[in-house]
Amino acid sequence: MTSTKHVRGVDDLGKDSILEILELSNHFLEVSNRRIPKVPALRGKTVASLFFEDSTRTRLSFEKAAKRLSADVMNFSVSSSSVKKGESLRDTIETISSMGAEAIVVRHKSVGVPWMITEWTDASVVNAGDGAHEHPTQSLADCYTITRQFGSVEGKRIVIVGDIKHSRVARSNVKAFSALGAKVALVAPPTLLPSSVDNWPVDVIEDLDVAIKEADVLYLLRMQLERQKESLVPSLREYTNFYGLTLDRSQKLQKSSIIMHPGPMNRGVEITGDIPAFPNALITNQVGNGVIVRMAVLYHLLGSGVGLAGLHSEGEEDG
Amino acid sequence: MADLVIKGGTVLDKSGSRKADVAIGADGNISQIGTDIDGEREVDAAGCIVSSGLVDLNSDFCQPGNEEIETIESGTRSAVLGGYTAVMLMPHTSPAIHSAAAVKEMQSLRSEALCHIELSGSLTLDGLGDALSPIGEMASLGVRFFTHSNLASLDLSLLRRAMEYSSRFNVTIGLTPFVGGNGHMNEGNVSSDLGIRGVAIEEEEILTYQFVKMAKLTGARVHLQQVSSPKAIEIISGAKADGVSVTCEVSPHHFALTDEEVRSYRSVYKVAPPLRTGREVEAIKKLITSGQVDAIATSHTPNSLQEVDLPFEEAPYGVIGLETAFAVSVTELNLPLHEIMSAMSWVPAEIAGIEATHGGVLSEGRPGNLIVIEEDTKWSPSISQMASKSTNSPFDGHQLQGKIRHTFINGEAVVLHGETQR
Repeated sequence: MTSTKHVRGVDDLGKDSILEILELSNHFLEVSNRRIPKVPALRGKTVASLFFEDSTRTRLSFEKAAKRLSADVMNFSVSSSSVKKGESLRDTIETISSMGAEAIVVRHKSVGVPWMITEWTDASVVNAGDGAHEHPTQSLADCYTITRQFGSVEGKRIVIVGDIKHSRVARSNVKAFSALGAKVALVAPPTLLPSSVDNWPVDVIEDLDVAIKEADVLYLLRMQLERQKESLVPSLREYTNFYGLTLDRSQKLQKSSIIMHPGPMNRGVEITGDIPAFPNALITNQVGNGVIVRMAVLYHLLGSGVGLAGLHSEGEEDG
Repeated sequence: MADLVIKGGTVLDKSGSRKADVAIGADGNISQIGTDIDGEREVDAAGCIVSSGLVDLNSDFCQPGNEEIETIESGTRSAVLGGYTAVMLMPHTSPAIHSAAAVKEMQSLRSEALCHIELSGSLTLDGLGDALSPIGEMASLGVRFFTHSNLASLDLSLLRRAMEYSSRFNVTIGLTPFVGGNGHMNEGNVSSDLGIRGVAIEEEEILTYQFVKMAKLTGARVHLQQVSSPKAIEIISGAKADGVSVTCEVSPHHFALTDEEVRSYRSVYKVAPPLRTGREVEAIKKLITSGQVDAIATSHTPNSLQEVDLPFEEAPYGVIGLETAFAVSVTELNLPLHEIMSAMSWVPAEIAGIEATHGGVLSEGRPGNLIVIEEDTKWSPSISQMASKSTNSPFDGHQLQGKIRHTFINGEAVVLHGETQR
């Protein structure tokens, strides 16, 4: 098993480690389907969760993953913390570290924070989102969803639609999908494409109606309501008209194709009507897979020496 | 017998170079330049270059107002260690240098300085860009340079009026072609990869063009500060050929570092205008070599210790540079020392209006504002050993060539063998 210290960005892993984590996820899928979906793999270890940006779903996903592995969880969210009293990022990390944490899961509005904090702690650092830069565990979960559906990511045509420029999910996904050999295409208004997207390992397709026909995976990004105020698009109506997955457009998808979205959805903007409930829309699957993959990530980082074979659930102990 | 003799070096000035000793008299001026001069005290310059001290056109010493970050004393200590005998200070202190009273306070703070301090005044009140400062009153107190660096709030019609009004007071207006708040780094491959908002280099070129056009329209004399775009330099050269009274400066970090450094996420690479790409850095170096850049200036900008550990997007712009500027210039530029001295001493002295006492030709009667340079010495700067209170140096630990051995201010040795004497 290759040894990884941190998961700050997709490049911390590389293709082999990504595949290893996807394989591990199958084990944890089995665990999650047990009557008591809990194993003692990380018992005695502490996972600190440090969320400087609001996020219920990602934080809970990590917390659930840690608890299913029997790790202790320390939650730290900025609104109730000393950060509001002016404590510096560095002081916060050093305090958490000295309380004893083997892993720190961090989300911050500013790019680069996960890399900065590795200078100030011996703990493994897991990036839960740094500005518009990366969200590697989301990508791993998305790779897992695609792999469960198609058997692999390799060779699949994955079309990502939406505000690429401001999306950490898009940046991590372009890296992860490309590393696994997918053919990635981006569809977005010109104002929402990064200035140097021509140097990315992707095709840029202007017209969603063209791209949608060849997509094995149609991956929709959330269109933030603020972008209209910044004149990045004239209106949300115009966005939906040209870039939204409307009922008409959804008819153009191949029968075998799937629809994905990292959540939360702006219904009526990037995705309309009942589409999220369609059988080929795997949006809720993505959420469940997120917990499983985060179990695999935490185990990959902290679980060395704890064999997976024969990991039994906690019998009488509670969570 | 002379008071003090700088012995055994090669004197370099505008007229050329020759092996000579330099004698300093009791009045602090050069009393004699010749061979085999004996002195009461002798300072060793064997194997070294003796020249006029460097003159910086762009430094921030944070006093008054933010003395915990840097002071006149710590900033000038930094300056003399880097070979500067004169530094022009930017006016965005607290209070800003936007009144006669503020000018007088700054002039009185000269007693704390280890080298000469030249003042610049703020073009507008508090630097806010809404209303003109009392330019005439400040000019009559000796201020020759006015600057505005907060371009987010300066409209062009007010700038035009500032240029027209100041034209009768024989002052120079310093302008930086950067709009604060529009982006944290160069817009390009790196900003796209990192998801950090970038500023396109074209914005600097557009602002530069606006400034030189305005200077032509009003007859004002302008100095473009912190230029990082090769095309902007070409625009300035075109304006010069067109008769516009314009000069420009480039900072060492803009010809030594590229935007690739930001992949480290370290805020020590956050400057305004931002670090550009490798291609632009090579082009800037060629333009400096071909003489199209008038001056090299440091834009020494200290930050507080709290700001050191801020994420890149939250960190303030600016880096310190007085102690490394000379060595970075020698190391990075394919330029004879004569040309480097022109860009770092003789021309900046003229732009600042202090050529009577700094830079220029070394001869009897000239003030003893001199440095002794070890042109070939290799060394590595270390922030723990710098005199600046601030630690934001992007050259910490770099391998550099070119060291200042001694610095003299009005004939007094303020730096000997790399150590300040007071």
